[in-house]
Amino acid sequence: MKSKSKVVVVGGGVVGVSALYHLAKKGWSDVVLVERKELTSGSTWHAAGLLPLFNMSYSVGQLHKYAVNLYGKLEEETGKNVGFSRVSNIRLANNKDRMDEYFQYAGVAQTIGVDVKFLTPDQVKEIWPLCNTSDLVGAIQHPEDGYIQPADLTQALATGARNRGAEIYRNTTVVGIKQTKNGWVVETDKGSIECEHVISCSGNFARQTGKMVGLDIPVIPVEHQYIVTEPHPEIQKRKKEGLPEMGVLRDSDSRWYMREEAGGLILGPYEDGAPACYVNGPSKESEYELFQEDLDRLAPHIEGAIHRVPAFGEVGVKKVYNGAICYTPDGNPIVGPAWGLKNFWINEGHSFGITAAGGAGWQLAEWIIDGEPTIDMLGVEPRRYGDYCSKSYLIKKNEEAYSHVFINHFPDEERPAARPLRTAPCYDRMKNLGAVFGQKFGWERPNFFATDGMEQKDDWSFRRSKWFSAIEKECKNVRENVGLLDMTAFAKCRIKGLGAEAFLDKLVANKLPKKNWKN
Amino acid sequence: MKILVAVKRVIDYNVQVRVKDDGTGVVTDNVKMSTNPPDDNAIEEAVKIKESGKAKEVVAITIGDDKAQETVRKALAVGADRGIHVKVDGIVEPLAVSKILKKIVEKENPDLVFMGKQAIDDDCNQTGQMLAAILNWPQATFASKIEVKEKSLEVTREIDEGLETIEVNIPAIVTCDLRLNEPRYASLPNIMKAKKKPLEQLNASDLGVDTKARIEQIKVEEPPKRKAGIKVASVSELVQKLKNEAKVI
Repeated sequence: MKSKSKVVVVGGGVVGVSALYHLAKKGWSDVVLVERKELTSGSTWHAAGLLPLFNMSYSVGQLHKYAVNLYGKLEEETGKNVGFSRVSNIRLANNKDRMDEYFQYAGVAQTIGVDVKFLTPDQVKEIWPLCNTSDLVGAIQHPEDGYIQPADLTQALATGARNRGAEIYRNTTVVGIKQTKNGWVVETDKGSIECEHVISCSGNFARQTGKMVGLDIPVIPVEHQYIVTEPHPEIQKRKKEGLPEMGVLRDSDSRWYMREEAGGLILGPYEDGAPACYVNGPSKESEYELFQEDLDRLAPHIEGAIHRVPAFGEVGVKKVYNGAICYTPDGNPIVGPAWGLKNFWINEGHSFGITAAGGAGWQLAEWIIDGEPTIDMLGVEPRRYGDYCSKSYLIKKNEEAYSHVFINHFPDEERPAARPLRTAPCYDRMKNLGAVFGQKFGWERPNFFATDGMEQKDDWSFRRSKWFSAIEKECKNVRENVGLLDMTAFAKCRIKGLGAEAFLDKLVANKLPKKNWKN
Repeated sequence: MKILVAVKRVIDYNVQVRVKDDGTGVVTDNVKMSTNPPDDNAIEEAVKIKESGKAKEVVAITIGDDKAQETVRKALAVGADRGIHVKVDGIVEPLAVSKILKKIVEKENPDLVFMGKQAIDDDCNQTGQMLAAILNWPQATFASKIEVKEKSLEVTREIDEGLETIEVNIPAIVTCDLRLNEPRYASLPNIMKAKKKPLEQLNASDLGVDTKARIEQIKVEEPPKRKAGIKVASVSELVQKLKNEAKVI
């Protein structure tokens, strides 16, 4: 084992190995990865391997797009088959709101450069003959995506990293991480490694790794189950006839994904009531761990799946996987520099880890080596969280983020769990005045005031909502009279030092006011 | 004909079992549990006999804490008609299990009692034999083939020397080997329907059975860790090492 290296990556899941691969690919060959057990033995090995390009976040969408592209070329580069089945992915819409979501998403996809097609129910039936399309409004299809074998993907990335000089130490447990004058020392049970940078990619152990350097990383995993059936004669018949796989099917309104697996089907629902797990971290011996299955809480989604694909109910259940997936309060990962610690990087909280690993590793390598990322990473920025994320808050919010995976992503959505958390002294008075609240950084702030007999309640939509007239009045009043804002959601930045004035003058549209200028 | 099948909830065979730090047992909290694998063969065989028209009813029974009911529900999902759960907390030794089963046999009057040849958690391989003894019924253990005749069973047994075929009169106890059949998987609609099948709940104390442990467990330890192997460069080096170091040739 090396005693000195430029970077130490902590954690050998697909996320950590991808970070190592991208550092090496960008020319930093003196990099190492430390894994406490075997590669993939945390959550990677039991992931269903889906590569969904669909994501409402610009940052996450970019990471996914890059990954799907990279994974398609890995075999050529490393000689290792990654089991990439580019079978496409169809998302169904059962109602108009859902179609609205897809229309809005198509805009995001176009900006990112992801191919999306709109399908009629008949076109869905053509691709997925086992799907009941009678009550569908429409669907979208991503021709480029599909699924992959997560363990094979990790091994291919590991090979790519090793071929460029990176080293991987398995069965090596990190016991401490100390900051030094020039960087960091990562202490393991097999010796210490001095390094310039540390990347935390420890998945279910994120909070334990964070604790070693005094960071409270807001990641707590949630249980996710998927059901694997035995082969179905219809699917086996299709295979025999040489017909293509029907692809990944997602019924957003029934909240599940489904795909073919060895002649049978896989169903993965995102249900209500899935509990947070590993709240105080997994046990030190934990590896390749699964939890007891609980089909009862999946019941409505199973019924929905049998309605949509009757074949799914016609064969036996071979296995139910119930394993941990990392979550953050908003469901997006945390990728970037740690707050307050130089050269400590966070790559944690991946709930779509197989898809996001490629892009997250790519951007971290750009950031670490070149000093800045090459895409807008605001959506996965670590500093969007703060000390308001207590353990009990995380449990509630992460469970909510899990159950919201397929809930319609309205642009003005405010999720209800763990609220109100922080309130201003005038909270009750504003509430009595009709305030409908939203949450920013844990604080409750009025989004609008219900007026003219309007119900004091959110009204989310992709179209013009009822708050429009209320906000119209507010704007008019602030323009013509006076308004009072108790708390702004905008951050304040202090910019000082040599050239600060010139920098700001270039940054803002107006000319800066004179120094000591008073209004 | 009525068949009673005993099923046990054990740590799933895929789980790497861990010993508790204080050596009092193995870790079962948050560990995936499932039906003892040869018990699945027992249920499958009973359901197959029922499907062939030779049996009228299959009753699944389990003994254990509240969660043991999941094991009965699974049996109901693959075709058992009704279930019995005898509630006992903690470890129940084979003698107590067979005494409870005897009470249930007296109540239910089955023609056959099936169960797995042994449970993969304690590996006792005693319950079937003890039950046969206290009921004074014939027994056929390690069954890999069962043929139902007029008033008897022809059972092929897996024994050290190969296969042994015996005939036992009904009523009889049969313990099942993994080679007996290939257990079916329950479909989701059947798993849902199983929730509505009758499941009778009893307490061991109501049956008048003392489940107190007769065996004192002193300590549970991990098996010694295997040492890493070495690579030898040639056959002659291997022979030399086997002779001088391992001293096996």
